[in-house]
Amino acid sequence: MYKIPANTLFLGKNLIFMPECHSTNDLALKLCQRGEVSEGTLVITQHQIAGKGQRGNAWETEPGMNLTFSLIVKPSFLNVSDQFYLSMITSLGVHDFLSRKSLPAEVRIKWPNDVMVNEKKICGILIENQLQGIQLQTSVLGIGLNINQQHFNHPTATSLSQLDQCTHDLQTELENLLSCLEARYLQLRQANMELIKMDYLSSLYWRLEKHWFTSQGNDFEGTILGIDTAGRLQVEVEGNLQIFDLKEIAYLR
Amino acid sequence: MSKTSAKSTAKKESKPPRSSSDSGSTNQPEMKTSEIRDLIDFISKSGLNEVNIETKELKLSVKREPDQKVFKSSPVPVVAPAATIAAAPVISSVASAPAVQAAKSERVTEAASGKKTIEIKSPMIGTFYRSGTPDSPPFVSVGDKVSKGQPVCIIEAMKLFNEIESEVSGTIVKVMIENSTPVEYDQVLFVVEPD
Repeated sequence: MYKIPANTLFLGKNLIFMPECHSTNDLALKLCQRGEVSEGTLVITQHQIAGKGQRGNAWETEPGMNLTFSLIVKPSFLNVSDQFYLSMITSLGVHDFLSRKSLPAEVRIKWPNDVMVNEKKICGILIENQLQGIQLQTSVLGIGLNINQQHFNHPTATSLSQLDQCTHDLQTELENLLSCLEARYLQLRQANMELIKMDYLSSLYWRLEKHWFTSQGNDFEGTILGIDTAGRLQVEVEGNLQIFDLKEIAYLR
Repeated sequence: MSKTSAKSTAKKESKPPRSSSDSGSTNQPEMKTSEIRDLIDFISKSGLNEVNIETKELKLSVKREPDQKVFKSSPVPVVAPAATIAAAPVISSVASAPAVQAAKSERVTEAASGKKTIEIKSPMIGTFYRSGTPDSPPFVSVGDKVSKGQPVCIIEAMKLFNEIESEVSGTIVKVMIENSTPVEYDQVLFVVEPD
C-alpha cells in the first residue's frame, strides 16, 4: 500500500494502487483512453504480473521488492519532433535520485534510456504516448526500478540494495524519486532544453570513450559524441561522424 | 540516412519559436507578417490544395489552383494591450502550430468512387506497428469502422511508443504499410472514408 506523496506539486497526487496488476502502463493507457485522468496520476503496484519492456520483451520483478509504476503526464506543449526529451527527463529523474545514494560507482544512462550502475542495469523505462494527428496528448512514463530485490535471473541486473547493502522503505524511496522526476518534468515544461540535453550527455554511458560497436555485421571502434534531435546516437568512427538509429547499432566492449 | 536527417532538420527550422514561460502572458500575441509568410510557404510546400486556419487573432485561407496560387489573409481585428505585444513579440507555437500541422497530417482526397477520403499520415520517422503487442490482433483492418480518438496504430521512434489516434470517424479503406516496417515522416498510413 502506498500513500500520496507529500513532497511533490502534482506527481502522484492522484494515486491508483493495485495490489496486483498485469502492467501499470497498460492500466494507465486505459485510463487515458477513457480521458478521465489528471496530469501526474500515478498507477503503482506491488506485484506486476506481465510487466512490459521494449515491444515483446518482459520486465521481471519480485513482488513487493521494487518500485513498479507508471506516471501519466500531458506534454501537449511539446512538439512531436522533440519527444525524445521525454526519454531524457525520465532517465535523468531516476539518475538524480540514485546519485544521492552512496553507491560504489557513478550512475550512468545507457542510450537511449536504461539506467546503469557498475555496468549493470538497475532501471528500465517504457514510454508510451498518445497522439491525435501530430499533437501529443498524454504520455505514460513506465518505470521499473530495482530496490530491495537480491537475486536476479539476469546476470546484468542489479538493485539499490545489492549496491549499498541496505534495505529501503519503498514509500520513502517512491517519494524521493517522484520529486526528482517532477523537477525534471518542470524543466521540460519550462522549455529548458539546453540544460536537459547537457545533463543527459554528461551522464551518458561510454560517452567520449573509445569502445567497440557492431552495426550490420561489421565490428568497429568508435567514440560516442552525443545524440541528434531525434535522439539518434552520434558516433565518431575513424574521424567521421556517423548517426545510428536504435536497431542499427549494438554495444560490444 | 542522410535523407532522413535532412528532413528532420528542415522540419525543425520551419517550426515557429517555442513559447517559453518567460513570455509572461496568457494572451495570444499577434502574428507578424514574416511569420504569416513563413506559414504560407510551409503550406505551399506541403502539397495540400486547400488549407483553412482559424485562431482567435487570425483567419487564414490558402487555396492552390492548377496554374496559380491564391493566398488570402484576413486578420481578425484584435485589440491587444500594448504591453502584451511588447512582452511577447513572438507567435505562440502552442496555439498556431498544431492547427497547421493537424491540417497537414490528414489529407482529403477524391477517391475513384467519387467519395471523399482522408489520409492518416505518419507524424514521425519510426517503425509502424498495427497492433499493441506482437501477439494481439491489429487495431484496425480494411472495412473497419473507426471513431475519432480511436487508436489505429503504433509508431515506435527511439524506444518511444506512439499510439496514433484517428482524427475522424469513418471506415478504413486502405492500409498502406506492412506491419513492423519503417515509415517516413508524412508517409500515408491509412486511407479513411469519413462518415
